[in-house]
Amino acid sequence: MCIDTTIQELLPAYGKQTLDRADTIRVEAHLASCEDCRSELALLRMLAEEDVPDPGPAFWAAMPGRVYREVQEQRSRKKSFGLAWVLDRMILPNWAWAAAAVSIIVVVSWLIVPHPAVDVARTNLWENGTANEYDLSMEPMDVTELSAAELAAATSWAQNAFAPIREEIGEDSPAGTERDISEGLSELSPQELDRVYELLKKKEQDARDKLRKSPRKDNVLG
Amino acid sequence: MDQDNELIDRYAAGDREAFDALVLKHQRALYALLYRMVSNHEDAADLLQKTFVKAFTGLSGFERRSSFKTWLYQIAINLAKNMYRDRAKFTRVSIDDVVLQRDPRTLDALIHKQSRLLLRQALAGLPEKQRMTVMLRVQEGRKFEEIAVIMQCSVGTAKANYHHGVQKLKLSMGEKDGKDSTREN
Repeated sequence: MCIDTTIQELLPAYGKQTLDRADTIRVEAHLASCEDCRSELALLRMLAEEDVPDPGPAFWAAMPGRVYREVQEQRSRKKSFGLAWVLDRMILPNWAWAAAAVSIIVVVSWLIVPHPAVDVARTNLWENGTANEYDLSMEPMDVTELSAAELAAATSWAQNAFAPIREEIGEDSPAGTERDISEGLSELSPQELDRVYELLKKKEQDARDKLRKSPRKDNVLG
Repeated sequence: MDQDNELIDRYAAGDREAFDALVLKHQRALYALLYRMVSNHEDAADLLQKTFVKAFTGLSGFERRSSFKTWLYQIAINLAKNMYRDRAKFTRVSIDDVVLQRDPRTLDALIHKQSRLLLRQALAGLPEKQRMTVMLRVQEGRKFEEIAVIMQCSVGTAKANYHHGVQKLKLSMGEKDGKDSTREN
């Protein structure tokens, strides 16, 4: 078996007659004395002559168009890939879309529709223990409608709420107010009584104003 | 090959005629390569189209370090290899266990019989890399440097694959010749 790989590597080109003159002479000199390489050359020629059937002119003419269409299709598929990917993953059952829509409508409606004023009179402030919704301008309620528990809570609230007023009045009162007021009042004339009444009314109003302006924590009941 | 690069640039700029010119220029050689690998028109035509499509859709990956033709061959061979592996439909004559040292002197007789069918079977029985290297060298007339690029291996490996492949073909053909001679006697 020949081991001259340099010559063997030249044999295919020699068979196709594409070698330069120097290599051609070199290969022919080797072939003259090497039966193994002659056999190999014959084998290579047979391989090289292996016929490939011609598919015909129509096949060749159509190939560029077929390739071009496929390339365009693949490119358009690539372009739509991003959007398609997102849409594919957004496919939800109809009930989920409906639920989402209803939720959105409810939330938006709650935000944009004005809420009716809270009926403080019907709000059990006493039990809640908060005066955040307390409004001094509200209509006085009928205490006869209150239950015993509500009445007790209201009483407790009133004591706390009017404590500052009592203190205010107490501070402004002249000395000796500890004695029986009814005794003193009975000695006043109607004009004086009217004046005292006006004075008390004014004090009460001042106290209310002060209470309204005071920090929220002062309004906490109970 | 500069002409190919010019056509590629024109195609990239939107010139459809340049696209057609590139396909028309290389389709016959590529078809012949693929046909020799798969031995039937349908698969060869399918692989030919896939080769061009892959080349044109991935044109940005062509760095022009090799020729466009070499790049096409690289793609075609990889696609053909995948087809071989996926389908495993090609009947191979196992000659991996052939002892290379056997005397191939009986080869001449078979070659003279023009037993192309046997040769085709022997070629199909070669290991993948050896078969493709022999095809590229003998049937396509590619240089070893080009084969190394196409097969993505070193030049030395390409040469080794070629020599092993050819030696196995010779031995295989000689072995068959021996069997036929026995039968004829």
